Amino acid sequence: MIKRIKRIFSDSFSLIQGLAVTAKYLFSPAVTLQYPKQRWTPPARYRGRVALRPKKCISCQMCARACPNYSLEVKFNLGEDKKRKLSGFIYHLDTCLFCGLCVEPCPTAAIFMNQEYELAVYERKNLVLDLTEKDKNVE
Amino acid sequence: MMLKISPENWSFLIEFAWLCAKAAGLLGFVSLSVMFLIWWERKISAHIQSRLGPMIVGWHGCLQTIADTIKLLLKENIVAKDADKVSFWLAPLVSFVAAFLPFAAVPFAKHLVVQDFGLGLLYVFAVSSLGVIGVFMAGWGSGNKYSMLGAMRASAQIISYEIPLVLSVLSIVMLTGSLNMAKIVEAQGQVWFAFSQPIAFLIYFISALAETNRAPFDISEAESELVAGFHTEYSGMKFSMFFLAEYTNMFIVSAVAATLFLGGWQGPFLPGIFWFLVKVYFIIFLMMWIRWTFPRFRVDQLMNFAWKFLVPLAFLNILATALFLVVKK
Repeated sequence: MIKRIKRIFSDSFSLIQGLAVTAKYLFSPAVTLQYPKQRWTPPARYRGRVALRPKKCISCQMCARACPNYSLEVKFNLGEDKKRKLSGFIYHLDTCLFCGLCVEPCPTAAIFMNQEYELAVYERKNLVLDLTEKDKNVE
Repeated sequence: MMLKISPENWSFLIEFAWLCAKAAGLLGFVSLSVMFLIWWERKISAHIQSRLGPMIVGWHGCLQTIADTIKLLLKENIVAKDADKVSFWLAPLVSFVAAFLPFAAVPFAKHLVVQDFGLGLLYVFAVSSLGVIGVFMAGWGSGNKYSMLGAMRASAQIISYEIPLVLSVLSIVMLTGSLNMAKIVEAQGQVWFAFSQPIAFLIYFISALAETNRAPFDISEAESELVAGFHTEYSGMKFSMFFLAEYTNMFIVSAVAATLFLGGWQGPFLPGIFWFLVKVYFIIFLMMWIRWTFPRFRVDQLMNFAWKFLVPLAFLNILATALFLVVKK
């Protein structure tokens, strides 16, 4: 009997403790981001989409070989001096899995992953990007 | 039959019109209050879960409930194939009317009461317990096993908790010697019954939570077991009537608690209605806080708690009050 009464009191105390926890959260700030109005700043090493510095690229195709999904196509012409000249860098965003394996072998650090995260498009064909056009001005 | 217009008839008509006006005013107040409560509950639940809740429609989403109401009103009326049409249609109305009728006897301020009953308290409990019929009609009329189970559970629960609820109030009635709610408020001039009768207050509050089918006593609409319980098949306007009834029930239960235990309209400086509403909303806040903190009872725990704990405790409380009264004499 005494044990039972003790239990009633200890249990009631635990109920109050529970209420205290929720009260604490009631007055703590919310974690919600009001998305279209508020934007998120990704961390410095965030892996957004693959981006290119076209002037640095030497068309060695190391990135295309490293890609597990064959999402990159490097197009080039041979110049007069027998050097490769980049003519197109096709990036298939639909198959890209954002692993970053293309970034590592690049000898000139021409390819990197940027901070863009709003990559949804209305049509599938819009997922195929030519980075020489899109990242023309990236240095 | 022609109604003869004599002075007595006129006075009756005027009285009737005045009563209708009071009822309409009350209905408006209750609807507005329910809209506010729904918004408030969504806000409280959101902040307890570190969310923001409605933010788009109006300032901090304060017009969200109006938008939702319009949406519900415009929805198609769907009646299930196997439904018992009559009880299916009537159930939301019965639920709401049973929740709305008790307001007639609740004093909002000193003379602000629709009808000052001598047996006000009896009327309130008699009428508010009719709500269970609406719930059962909904469960029966839906022709759905989940609705039926939910309705059975709700009926069992409401009938069980009605007993400790009324027994806890009985000690107050013994102390004041009156069933008139205004007199009970006036008897709390010195000290509120929440302090002189804390056990009765606790029993009342717990039973009131169970009466309104709210968490942790929401087994009648346990989402994880019964979809939505008795209102599984309801949508649109009829569903919103159930919603309205639930929040009206919360309001009436809190209003009775404020009247019986927290001194009703009494308070310093400000007008009575202000103090009354503050107390009512405080109790509603407690109910919401509890809802978003505790998990649900199991069915057997629920019944054990009512019959093996609350009812004996309420009887002991009545015994103690009676002894106190005898000794005092």
